[in-house]
Amino acid sequence: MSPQFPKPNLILLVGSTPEFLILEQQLGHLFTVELYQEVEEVLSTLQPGGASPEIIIGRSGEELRRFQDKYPETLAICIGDEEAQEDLNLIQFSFLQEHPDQILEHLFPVFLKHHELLQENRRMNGHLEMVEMLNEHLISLQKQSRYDLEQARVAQELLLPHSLNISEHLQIQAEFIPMDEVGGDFYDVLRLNDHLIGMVVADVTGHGLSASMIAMMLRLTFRQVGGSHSSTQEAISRINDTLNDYMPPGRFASLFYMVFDEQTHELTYTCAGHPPAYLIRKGDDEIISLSTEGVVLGVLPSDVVQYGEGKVLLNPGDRILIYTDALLETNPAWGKNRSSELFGEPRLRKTLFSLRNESLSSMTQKIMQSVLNFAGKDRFDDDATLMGVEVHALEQKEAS
Amino acid sequence: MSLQIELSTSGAVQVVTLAGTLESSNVSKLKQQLEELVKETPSGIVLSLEDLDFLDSSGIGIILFGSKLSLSHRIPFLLSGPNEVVRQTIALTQIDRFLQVTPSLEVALERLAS
Repeated sequence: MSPQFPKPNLILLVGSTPEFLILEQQLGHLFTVELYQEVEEVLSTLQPGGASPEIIIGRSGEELRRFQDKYPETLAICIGDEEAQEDLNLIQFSFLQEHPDQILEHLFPVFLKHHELLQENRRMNGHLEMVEMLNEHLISLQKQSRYDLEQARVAQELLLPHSLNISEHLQIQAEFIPMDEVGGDFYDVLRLNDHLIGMVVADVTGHGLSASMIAMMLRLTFRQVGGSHSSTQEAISRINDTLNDYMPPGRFASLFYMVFDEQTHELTYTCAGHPPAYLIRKGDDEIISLSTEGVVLGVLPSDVVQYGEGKVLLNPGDRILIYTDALLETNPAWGKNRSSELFGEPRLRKTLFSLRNESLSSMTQKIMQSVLNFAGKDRFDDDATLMGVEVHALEQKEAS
Repeated sequence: MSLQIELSTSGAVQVVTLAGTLESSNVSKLKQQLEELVKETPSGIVLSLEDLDFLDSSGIGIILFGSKLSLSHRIPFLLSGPNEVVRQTIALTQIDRFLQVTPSLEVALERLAS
């Protein structure tokens, strides 16, 4: 079986000189050929939106270009003397003026090449369309994902306490900077009864949406359990048992929980695998670490683990600071070389000490900024939370 | 910095040597390795941390996962030789109350042999 060669659907001849008549004669035996005087005539004759003629032969490169502006896939053959700038779709065959009878032998190779290129081009355009469609789909998914994250961020913000002013005995200040739109850290304050105030800072492993979902679960559990237990130790044991039932493998939460008694000014606290809190006594140069026995939450049931409970009496002007480990673990080369120096506890203590005479809000803000300045960054590489609490003398507050 | 995991054996004990950093971006690599290892039922698994520079809370999470997984197959699970930074991170979470952390691989192997 002989191979099937492609055949041009229509050949347009544009010219009035004798060689065009010869070309019409030569080509007309084999193909559909139409002869016109000028390009404008061709353009007005062709049906808009119809199939592109595959070949056009004319004398003027400029005219052929004008035609190709409307029909870019058509192969144009210029037989004029003027220098036409050749490209894949425009060939100059000036010799046809003298030898129009040689058209067939020269036309076929260029047409075949043009035809192949056109096919390849169409295939590529098909792929390109598919890539563009996929791209649009991905952009749409990305928009949806951003919308979902934004909704999660709003939900998480709504779960943070609306006001920290729940006790006239305490000033409470909180800094919360999630690494992503949402985070695995949270803080909360809760009035347990007419004289007990519960305060918590927690950190769920990892960051992003999955960590924030666990954080929300933990926060709701804390609200439910914390409110019914005045003992921090009991509350944490109950929270641990609840979390242990549905914490995903490889995940856990650390938490520092404290309850302030407005009548006695006694602070009771439990630390569950969390960095120790700091107590800064007013007028005292010592910074005291507050911690207790207690493994991270959601790892082992409470009949296996034990949570301790500490107590300390607070005086007006005393401050407590609770934070998450991002403040300790931030380093200048995060993600590149973690072995470089971390901000660490000694540096944090030193920073607290240097800021001890600032107002509480200024102190918490400047601590966060100091950590970022140390790392030379404008954002943390993990969720970061810091809660500051200062005990007020009531008469002092009234005076202020 | 990435995590390098090297496997070796000492008798019937499987030693998993970690180097670099163990953090949220690479914990799945170790998780997969530990899941494979327990299927071979070694007489013990030692996670050698001598060359581990840093681990974050996700790293702690995966160590806890490995410990629970091993114990569910009745395979003893030990940590060995953490540097000061890694040791402090482990101590902060207080998981060292429930995990066996030894100062060196030799001590871990001796403990498993006894």
